[in-house]
Amino acid sequence: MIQTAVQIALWVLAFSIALSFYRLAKGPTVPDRVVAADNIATNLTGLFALFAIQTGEKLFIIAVVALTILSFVATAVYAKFLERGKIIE
Amino acid sequence: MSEIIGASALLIGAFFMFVASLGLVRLPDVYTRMHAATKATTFGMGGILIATSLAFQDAEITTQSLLALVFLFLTAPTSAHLIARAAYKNGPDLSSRTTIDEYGPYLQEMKAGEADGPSHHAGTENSGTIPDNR
Repeated sequence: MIQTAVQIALWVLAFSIALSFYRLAKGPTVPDRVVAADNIATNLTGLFALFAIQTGEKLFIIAVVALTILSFVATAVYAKFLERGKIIE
Repeated sequence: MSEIIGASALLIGAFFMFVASLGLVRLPDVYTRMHAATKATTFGMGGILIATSLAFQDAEITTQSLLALVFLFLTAPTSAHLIARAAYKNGPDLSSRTTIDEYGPYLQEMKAGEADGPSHHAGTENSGTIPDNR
């Protein structure tokens, strides 16, 4: 039963990543693209959690934690770059 | 029983992730898009990680997914705040249906305070209006 739910959720998350790619390609300003990239990263962590349920592999949960940290750092660096114009001063 | 709860939590989480992406596509400006993406995505990840901890029935997996959940709940509002401030300072492309903007007069007041001493007069009479300088 939970495998069927995992299949449905995989399709839903793939479709929402496709919608985020539309905003990433079209988005009129740069912060729009940053928000879309952050949303893609969070959807990717959801996909990793779904892969963990589907395959029974426990290492994917570690990958979820690591991807969460990585997406936060990437978004913070993008925001600093947008605000100041340079990353390392 | 726990399988039913796990499957329903998974489907609710996936649905809210989809709602976040739909809001990202359909809402008018950066701030509303970020509002949709941040809140709904955080709730959706909560559902999915609860479903993983219910599917494995393991103390280690439950601890790790709760760790990821707490970290997501801490970092998602922080990164949204950072992007919102950077987007406003980059040029406030507000939607035409925006009714109140309190950050623009605050920024003008801070800039006037830096320019000519501690006078809190500047920017207070037009508080709540949308600034014209894009």
